[in-house]
Amino acid sequence: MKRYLWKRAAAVTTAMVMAFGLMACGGDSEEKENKAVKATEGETKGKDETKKETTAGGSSESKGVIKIGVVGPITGTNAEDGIGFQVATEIAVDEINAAGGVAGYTLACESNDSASDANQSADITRQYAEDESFHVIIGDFTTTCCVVDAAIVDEYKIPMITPTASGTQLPGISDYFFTMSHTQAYEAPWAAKNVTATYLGAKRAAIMRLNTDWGNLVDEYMVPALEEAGVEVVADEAYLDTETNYSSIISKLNSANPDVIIVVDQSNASTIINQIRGAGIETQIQLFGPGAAVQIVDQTGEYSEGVITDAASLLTYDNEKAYDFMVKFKEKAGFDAADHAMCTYNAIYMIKDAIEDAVAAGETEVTREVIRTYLETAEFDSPIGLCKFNELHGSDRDLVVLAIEDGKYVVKCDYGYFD
Amino acid sequence: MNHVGKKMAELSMTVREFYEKYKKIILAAGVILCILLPFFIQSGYMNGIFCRILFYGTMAGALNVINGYSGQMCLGVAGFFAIGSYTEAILSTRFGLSMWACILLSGVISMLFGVILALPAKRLSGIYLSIITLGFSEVIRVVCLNWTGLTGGTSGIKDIPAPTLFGFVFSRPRHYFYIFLVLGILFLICTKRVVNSRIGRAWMSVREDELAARSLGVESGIYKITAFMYGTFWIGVIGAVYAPYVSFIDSTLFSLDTGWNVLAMLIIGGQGTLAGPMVGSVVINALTEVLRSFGDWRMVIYALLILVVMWVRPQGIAGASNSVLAGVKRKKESGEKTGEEAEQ
Amino acid sequence: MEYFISQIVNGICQGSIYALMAIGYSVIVGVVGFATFTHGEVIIMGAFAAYYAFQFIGSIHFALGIVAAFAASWLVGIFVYKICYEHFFEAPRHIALICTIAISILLKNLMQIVFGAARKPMINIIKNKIYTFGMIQITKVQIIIMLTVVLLSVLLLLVFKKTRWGVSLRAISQDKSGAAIIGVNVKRNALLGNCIGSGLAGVAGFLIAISYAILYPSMGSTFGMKALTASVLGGLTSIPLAAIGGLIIGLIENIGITFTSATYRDIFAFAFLMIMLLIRPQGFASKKGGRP
Repeated sequence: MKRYLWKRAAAVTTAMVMAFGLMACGGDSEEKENKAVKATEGETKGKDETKKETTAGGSSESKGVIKIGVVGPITGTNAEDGIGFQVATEIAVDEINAAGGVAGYTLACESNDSASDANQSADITRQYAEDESFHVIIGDFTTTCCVVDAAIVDEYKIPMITPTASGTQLPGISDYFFTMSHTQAYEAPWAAKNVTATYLGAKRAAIMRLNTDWGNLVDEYMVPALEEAGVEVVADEAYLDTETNYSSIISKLNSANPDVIIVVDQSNASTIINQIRGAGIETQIQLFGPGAAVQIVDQTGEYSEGVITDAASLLTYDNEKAYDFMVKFKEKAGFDAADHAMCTYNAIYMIKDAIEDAVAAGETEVTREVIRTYLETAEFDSPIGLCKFNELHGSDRDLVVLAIEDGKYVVKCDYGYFD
Repeated sequence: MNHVGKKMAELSMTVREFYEKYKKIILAAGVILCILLPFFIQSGYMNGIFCRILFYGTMAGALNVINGYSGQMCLGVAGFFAIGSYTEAILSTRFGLSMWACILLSGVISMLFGVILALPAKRLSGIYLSIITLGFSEVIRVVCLNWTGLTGGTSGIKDIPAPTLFGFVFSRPRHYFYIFLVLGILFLICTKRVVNSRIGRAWMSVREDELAARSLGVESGIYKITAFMYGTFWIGVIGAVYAPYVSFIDSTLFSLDTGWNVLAMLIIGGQGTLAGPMVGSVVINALTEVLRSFGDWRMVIYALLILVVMWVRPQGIAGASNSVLAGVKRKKESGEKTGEEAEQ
Repeated sequence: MEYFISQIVNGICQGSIYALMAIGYSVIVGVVGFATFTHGEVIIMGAFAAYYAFQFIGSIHFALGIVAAFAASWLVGIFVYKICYEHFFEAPRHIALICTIAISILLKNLMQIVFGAARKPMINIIKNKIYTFGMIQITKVQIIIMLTVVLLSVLLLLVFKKTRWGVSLRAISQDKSGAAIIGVNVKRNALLGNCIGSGLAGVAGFLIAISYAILYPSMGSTFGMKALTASVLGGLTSIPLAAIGGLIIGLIENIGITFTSATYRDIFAFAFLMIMLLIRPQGFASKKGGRP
């Protein structure tokens, strides 16, 4: 028996060694693949150039490829958002390349799935960071993943832009980390003061929130802001993101007799609206988080009439500026674009602007460091207003108040209304 | 299928003979190669994978003691893993304890929970034990998610200090590789000794035929508990190193999926042997990387792999063939089968 | 007080869905003799079948949903039986158990690929109304769900008590080799039992979808766990006790939420189960030691 086990132990080590070797080979082949990708990119770039030459008269010459690594949850609970990252990046890259690239450079992108798992996200980020051909990383979706990734990009000195993560710990976490989203320290008090207190004139508010880092953070900022604005918080209930039956929470909130129910959630908002109205409760509903998501109207029908929400962007097919993007996105992804996708799209254009500025300022080579430096001052007049980063690499976007009327989002208070 | 099974058995026999002949050289070479590995491969990404293989492998090995050697059905690995990690994270961030001290403490605390959980296991078996351990894992996760005062709730615990040894700071995956390697080897040596002792033989006798074991005077209840204690201790230890390795933990790292992952490694690699879990860890982690671009299909492939293993070779790639784990139910019921196997 | 009563009504409604799932579970464990971890996925399969039946057929009749859910899960039941059970009756129990875990992972991810991971709102097929009886407020959806569960349970009981089929199923459930001796085709009836159990789970999934107005592939695992818990409470093989187990878990959850928070929902059931098993390892059942 004893000898038998030694054999097993030997088997372990050899198996491990073999697998390591195997994986090292795998790594090699991956590199080869990357090279292959590059080669094809070179070809397309060549085509672009010829195109450009015909249009611009051959003024610029080939300078290289700027490669963007996308990391986001393509599977799991947040899959729709991660796919949004991927598709929006592809749309922006295609658009930019079709228009002749950026100051002689072409863009390329690659996406990998982090499944909202911090370990996997870290692995992918490290993989991008170690591969010299990548210049900038887009991602990840959750704050948890971003905190882990930020440490890595700081170490390897590669810029990373998250389109969505809005944890308050993120701004200023690293010189190389940027976020397109405003933090909850900004949006939650804004909504409490302007929407709940001023616009709705509520006196008693009941909050139901997702028990995640995001939901709790919102709560932390929203409750004091509500009280300061003279709104009493009569109930404050949290629930897990795997929750499907809200009836007991709704009964609990309703028993406190509020003027307004504030729903702090993104993906469950339609279900919650359906269940609140389905239980025969007619209290005013205020949404916080989903913005002007088209699917909420589609999924709730008449139940969402009169629901109020604040949003950084109004992404509907009626919005002329965003229309092109919305149509392209729907075609590619199969579902409607949300604010997250729009922010990803903007992030790519921010990178474009940074590169253009850098080249205009006389930088001869576009490196990771150059992109980082010029991202700080980059500006992009996006379909949803001007984008730029603040000194902590975050952004403070202005918000609008929207109401759902006749199955459509209607702007109640436009940008700058409360200033 | 029988044909395939025979072929595989033959193959494993030749491989086994080869080890038999040169086992010491192979072993030494393997260990030296492992030690040198991070010098050849500098990439943090690759070293991250090596670390994952080692700690998952050790964890699957610890689960193997419970599921493989003593033949119980524990599905709550993630819970013990969480206990180990959170213990280290809390002690090191709040009280400034070094990781080296925390390793033992985490192991012991995880073991205490193991004992509490194993008490009903003494009386329960099969599905009842599975559901209790599964429930335990979920309860631990939900408690970690909600007990904000202790575990940081949804925001988790961040900035877990990196361990130092004689002034050397372990900060990169390739530094942790050595910690995990030492732990892994330590685990294998300890387990080998335990398994070959009276206790180990008692575990296996309980697994093969509890009734017969009891009639021969083996206190099956006590041995079931010791298996739980031993296994959960090591899971806690791995958790304690895992926390500073990722430097940030929250409850999402310890979901049931983590538990299924470890279980899949154990089952595919093989139960009831020392090598099995390590082989499983190598296979699953290598697959994870190779199949990353497949997205959702990856999990589908895992599931199919588990099914294939269960159909073709229920004891796993490197599992104990001469045991109940290999699908041999009772000697008296299927004497034919065992006879066949004995011939081989 | 009114609030408390409404929580109890919520609890009974949710409990009755759990009861239906647990009944299905107990039929499977009783007749096939193996526990399963695929139940949650079978439940959601039923919900999706109803969802797509409504979309493709165009009609939104309640009965169509039930039939679609039942039929689809019946088919899944055959699939699960062929892969997980058929070849492993003689093998140690853990093999079949692990196979069901694998199938659960397989189905969940296949559903995510085929149906998409996003949360879908269920088509609103019942014009909702609220009835008030004194202090009790109850919605039409809740009434329909409870009636459906009661109806199906009674139907199942009748099948089991009055038909030849049911008698042979019960015989297998009590003693496999005994049943084989008196000429019952054990394997075929085990398949049948598995399909009936799965079918009931599918209907429960459909009820969940209309009651919560939502469905997505990964929501099954929690429900599978609840069904398992309820069934274990009832001693695993007893149908009426499993139903009681389901009701009790629904009630405990809602009362628990009333006094604490919804984030602890999954703990209540498990904690209750653990305490219960410590005191009475056989659950509510009077005879000691369930088989699996």
